[in-house]
Amino acid sequence: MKKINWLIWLLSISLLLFSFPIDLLFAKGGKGSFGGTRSYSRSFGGTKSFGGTRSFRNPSSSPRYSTPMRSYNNPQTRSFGGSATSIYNRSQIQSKYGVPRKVLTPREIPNLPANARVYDYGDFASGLMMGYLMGHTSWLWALPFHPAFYYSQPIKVVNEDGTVTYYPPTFDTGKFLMTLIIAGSIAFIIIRAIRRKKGILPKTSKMDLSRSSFS
Amino acid sequence: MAVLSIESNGTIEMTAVYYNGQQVSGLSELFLNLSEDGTFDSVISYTGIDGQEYIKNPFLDYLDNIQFREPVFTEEEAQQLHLLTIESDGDIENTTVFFDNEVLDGLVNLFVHIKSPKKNKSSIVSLFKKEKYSEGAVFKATFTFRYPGNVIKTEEIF
Repeated sequence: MKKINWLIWLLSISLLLFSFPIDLLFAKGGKGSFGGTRSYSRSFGGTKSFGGTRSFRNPSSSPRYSTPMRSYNNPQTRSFGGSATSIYNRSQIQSKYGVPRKVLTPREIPNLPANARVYDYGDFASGLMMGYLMGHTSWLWALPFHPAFYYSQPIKVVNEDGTVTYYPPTFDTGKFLMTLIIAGSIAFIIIRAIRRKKGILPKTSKMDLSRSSFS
Repeated sequence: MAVLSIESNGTIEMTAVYYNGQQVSGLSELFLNLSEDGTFDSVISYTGIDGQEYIKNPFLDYLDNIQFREPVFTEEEAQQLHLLTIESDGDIENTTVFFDNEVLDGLVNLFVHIKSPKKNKSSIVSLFKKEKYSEGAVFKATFTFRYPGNVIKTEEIF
C-alpha cells in the first residue's frame, strides 16, 4: 500500500509540475512582455558585440554580462528585422489565422507598446489573448480544469517594419492528451485502490483460511 | 506408520489436515497419488514454526518444525464434513484408507491435490492485474474403485 501511495504522490506532483505555468513566472504578464525571455540571449549578443569601443579591462573585475537589459517597449531595437519570437514565421501565421474580425490598437488595450496590433478573431482563444494582454489572468488558468490551461500564450510576431502583432493562443493538443493520460492514470489507480480496499475487487488474501490447515 | 487425515467439504477454507491425530497448520500444498500398481507419491509442503518452507513425504519423513493447532471444527461442523484417513508406512501394500471412519476396499487409485491460493503481493503491478478470488488454489480429490464385473469408477471424495 505504501508503494501505491508513493505512486499517487509521484503522479500528483508530476501533474502539478506539469501544469505549473513556469513560463508565466518568468514572463512579465500583463505588461506586454510576452515572449520576452526568449529574446534575452539575442539582445545580449547583438548589443555587446557591435558598436562602441572594445574594453580591455580585466575580465575578472567586471561582470560577465554587463549589458543592461533592453526595454521591451521598443521592439525595434532588439529584433533587427529578424524572425518572429515564436517558432512560426509571419507568413505561416498569417495564412493560419486568416483575416481577423477586428484589429485592436494600444488605445483599446492599455500597457501595450505603441506599435502593437492585436488580431481579434472573436473566439475563445481571442478572449484568452485579451486576458493575457490586459493582465487579467487567473491562477485557475494554470489548472487542468480550466480550458485556458490547454492553450498556449498569445503568439507575438515582430514584423519587418518593427510593429508587433499578437495572435490568439492555439490549442495544445499534446498537452491535452498528456493531461488526459495522467489524470486517467491517477483516477484508475485511486479507484482501483479504493475498490480493492473496500473488497469490491477481492484479493486472494480475502479467502478466509483462518480455520483451514492451509494458509 | 503415519496417519494422515483430511477433513473437508471440498473447499480449502473448510479443510483440516491431521497428522497423527493432531491438526496441522501452515500447509501450502498436499499431494497424494496412490495406486494399486505400487505408485506412492506423497508430498506435503508447509511453513514450519521457524518460518522456513519444508517439502516432505508425510509417510516416510519426519515433519520438522511442522505447526500444530487446536482442532477448529465443532461437532456440528464435523458432521457436514467428510474425513479421509490414510494410514501407511510409505508402501502401498501397507496402506489402509478410511473414509468417514470406514475402511475402503477395492481402491484402484487415490488422488488428492490441495494447494492454497497464491499469496497476494501488494505491489503496484498487482493493481493492474485482474485477480481471481482463488488464484492458484487447487482442490482436487478423487478415488477410483473397481466394482464387481471389473467396472472402474472414479468418484469425488469430498
